[in-house]
Amino acid sequence: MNTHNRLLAAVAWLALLAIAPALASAAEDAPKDGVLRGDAACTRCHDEESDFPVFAIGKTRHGVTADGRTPTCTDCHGPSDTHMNIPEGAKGRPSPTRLFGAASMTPIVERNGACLTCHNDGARIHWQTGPHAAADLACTSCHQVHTGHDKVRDKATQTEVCVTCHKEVRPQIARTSHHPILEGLMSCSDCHNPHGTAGEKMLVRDNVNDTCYSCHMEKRGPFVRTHQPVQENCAICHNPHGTTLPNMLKHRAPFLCQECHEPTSHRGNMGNTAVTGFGTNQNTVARGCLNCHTNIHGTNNPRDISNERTFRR
Amino acid sequence: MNGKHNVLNIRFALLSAGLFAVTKSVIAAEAPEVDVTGSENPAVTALTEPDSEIEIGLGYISEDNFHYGQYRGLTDEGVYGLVNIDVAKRDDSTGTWLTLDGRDLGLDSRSLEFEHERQGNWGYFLDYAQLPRANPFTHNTGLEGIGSADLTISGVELRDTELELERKRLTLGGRKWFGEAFSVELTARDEAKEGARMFGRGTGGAMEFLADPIDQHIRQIEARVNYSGQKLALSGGYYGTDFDNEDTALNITGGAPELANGTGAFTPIALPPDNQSQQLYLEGNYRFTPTLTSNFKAAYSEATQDDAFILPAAPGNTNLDGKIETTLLQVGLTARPLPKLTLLANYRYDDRDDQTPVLDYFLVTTGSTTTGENEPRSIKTETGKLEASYYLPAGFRITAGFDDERKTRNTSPVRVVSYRRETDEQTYRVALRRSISETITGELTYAHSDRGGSDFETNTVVGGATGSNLIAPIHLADRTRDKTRLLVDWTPTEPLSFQFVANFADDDYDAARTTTDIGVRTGEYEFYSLDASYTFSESWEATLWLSTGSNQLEQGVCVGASSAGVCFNSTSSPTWAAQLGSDEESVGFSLHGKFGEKLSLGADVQYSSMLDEFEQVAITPNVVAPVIPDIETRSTTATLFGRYDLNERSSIRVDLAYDLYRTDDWTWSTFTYRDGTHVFNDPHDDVYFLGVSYAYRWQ
Repeated sequence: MNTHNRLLAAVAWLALLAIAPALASAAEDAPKDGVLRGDAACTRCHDEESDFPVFAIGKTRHGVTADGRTPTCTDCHGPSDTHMNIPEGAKGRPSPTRLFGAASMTPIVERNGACLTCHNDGARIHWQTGPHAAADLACTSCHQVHTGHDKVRDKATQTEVCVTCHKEVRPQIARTSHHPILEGLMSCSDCHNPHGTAGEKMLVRDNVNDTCYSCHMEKRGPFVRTHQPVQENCAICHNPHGTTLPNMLKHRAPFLCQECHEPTSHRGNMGNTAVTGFGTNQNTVARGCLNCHTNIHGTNNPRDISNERTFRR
Repeated sequence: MNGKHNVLNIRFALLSAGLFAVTKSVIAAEAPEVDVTGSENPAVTALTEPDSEIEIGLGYISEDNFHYGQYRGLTDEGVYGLVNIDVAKRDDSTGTWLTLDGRDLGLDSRSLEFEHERQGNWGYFLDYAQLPRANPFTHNTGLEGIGSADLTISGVELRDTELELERKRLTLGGRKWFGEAFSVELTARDEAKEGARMFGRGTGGAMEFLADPIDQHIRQIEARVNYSGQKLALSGGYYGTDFDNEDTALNITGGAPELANGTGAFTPIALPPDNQSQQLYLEGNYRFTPTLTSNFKAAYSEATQDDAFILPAAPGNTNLDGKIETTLLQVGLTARPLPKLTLLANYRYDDRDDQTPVLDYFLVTTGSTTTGENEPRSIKTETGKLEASYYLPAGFRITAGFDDERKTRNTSPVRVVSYRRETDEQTYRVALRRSISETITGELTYAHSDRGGSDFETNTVVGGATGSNLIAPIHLADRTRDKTRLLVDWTPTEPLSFQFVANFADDDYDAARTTTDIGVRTGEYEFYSLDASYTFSESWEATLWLSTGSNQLEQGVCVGASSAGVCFNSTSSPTWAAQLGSDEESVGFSLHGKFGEKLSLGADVQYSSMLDEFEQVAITPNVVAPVIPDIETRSTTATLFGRYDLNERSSIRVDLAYDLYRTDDWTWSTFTYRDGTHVFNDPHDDVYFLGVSYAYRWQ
């Protein structure tokens, strides 16, 4: 190093020493993170007074910075460079790289990709081939991320979210015979996994019957005398979303039974509410056909002395 | 409230208080070691820390009812305790959560969940829930022993009896993470179901009221190991279940001679047998490339039933030795070969193989429609799906798909119901969606399905004669189905939005196996719904919705067909048709908002009207079919609430609910059991609920 260079280096060091306190002070005055790692750049604008407040994410699992897996703002919303540093000549502030609201123009596959980066396992393992993914549903169509109370994850309020699309179910769950969904004791996700499953109708178990058995295991059998549709699919006779008939039956007896049974013997009888006494004409009052065929889901009685095989004993 | 319930409620309140105390002590023991940035500012802390609240009050039900309180545990007139607890505490330095969520703790529909978790490391929970169900009928009966497996029909004085069921469910679970990739989960549940359910026995000469005793346990355990990597996610596990019924036979003493006497007496009656199942599974997804992913599942299950028979069986065995093995294989692929094109393929194989030994359980005579053997049911289902979606200009997306479902079933050579071994349903569908728009989104979908299958087996009776071969059962019959759905979501201005849905479905069955047009013929379904939502301000929002729907089904039957399946089409054995209809109209209104900073108000009203029609039409000339009256049911449920914040931490809440239920259901009105039992279905339910509670909040 020659003399000239040594002088320059000395001047540079002196200058650095002179401005060091100012730099340190500036670092102390720099905005601090409010909730998430590195969120200071965002929360300086997105405080509670802004149109898009974000602090409430601190109440959620996403706001737990001690869990190293939790995201930063830009992990979900993208780098958003032009949103934070408005380019010269821009009309207004450009949007963040990824937006999730109803009016977002971010492609849904990209929005969901931000969530699937972490939430790709467990109950969501079948999302990619599920009907909701195929129907262009965004995760944020159902979930609210920036709130301590995500309605769709609360049993008492989940149904309000589901019926915004599945409107035909809304009056069904209010029918006389229903599962306790309106009462908040059951929710759609007790039977369905909206993130997709390997089974039919996004049911939580592999098929309709296995899902029903998780609460109605007494119907599983196998029995000595089995009722074929019971073994195949509970929904052949029942509508689990609700009906106006006891036990959520789709139709009343004898009409329901006549949809399958040959009309020999008494099975083709018309319904009649005016008959008296006891006989096969009492097929639509009281329990209808079940007045006699009481064990309709199957019986484990090995005898057949009085036609027990027809689920009478 | 009766005394038993009061004792249980007090016990439960004590348990809740204990858990609450535990929660508080654990919170104290886990004081934060390091202060975090946000907590330095109290205003930010208030916005970012989890909230806790306890709510205590009293509620009053104006009269006995079955509709409003059926599942809520509010069927009896009287005063009830209202207790809700929602505690959420978090140690920010370690990411440790402690939550206690108790709802309706003063009612029989209570639930309480305790959870302790170090996020991303370990966690466990304990969940208790009760689910009551009051039978909507009153039974005026002399039946003795209700609730037990030993019933007596002795003609004692009739009295009003109400049947109830209650489930009490306890779930324990835990999860441990090993790094970011691995975790293990364990969940175990025991659900006790107790009470009594409407039952009965009958033959041509007598029908008697019985009550089915319910004293059952449903137990489930599931253990999973999860892996989540950059490209591969896997979950493998075990799922075991056990059904345990304390009562497997119902013994009846007394009753009508036709049912109570002789070797053919209808006692004992078999109740559901104990049974078990076990499953091993592996499921996951794999990302080949950013635009090509797959998912899959493989599972093997074994369900068994070897509960002792209630009576000796003719073959000499003491139980069914039932066993069903089920194999599930599923694989799906999604690909995006072009930015605008998405392809999807899915295949599923579900083989339910019933390996229960086939034995001759009883002797049969020539002409019988059963062989005396048990009938194992094996069903193999294969489903395939192909779908392609392409983005068009202006935010439109078009999707075309093809689905195929093929079912193969076994059958017995002698049957009472028509049967085919295979059904095959193919569906072609197309959908046009507009997913991304600031004002209008929506979709229009159309699907056409065609179900056919192998030839129906010819029903024969014992001895080889041809049986009745008239009807193709509804789930096996040839069918074409056309379904259309329209959904429009329109936001003309920022605060106002509309949503319109229309669904249509037409089914055309080829249910008749012979020239006689009997069996299910057609089905029609229509549904329309309109929602309007208006946001008056940041604080006030209103929603109004209307829906109307209709379901129609037509089927043909004949009275007294011969054992060989001949419909006589005579005045004594006419051919007839049933036209079943169900029309439904519903209206809902919701208004929620705040007056100032302290007063929150909300109102929700839902009205439903349902009309069920059962028209029977004689096809045979000179026959008049009996008229079955329509059944009309109307219900209105209105809830109002007001919450006034006394200060930042406490508030007073008032809830008012009104439930009106009307029906002209005649199902039980003309029927009296042989033992004199009469069942009443209260056609009017008119009940108010008033609740007042105090809530305290903290962080």
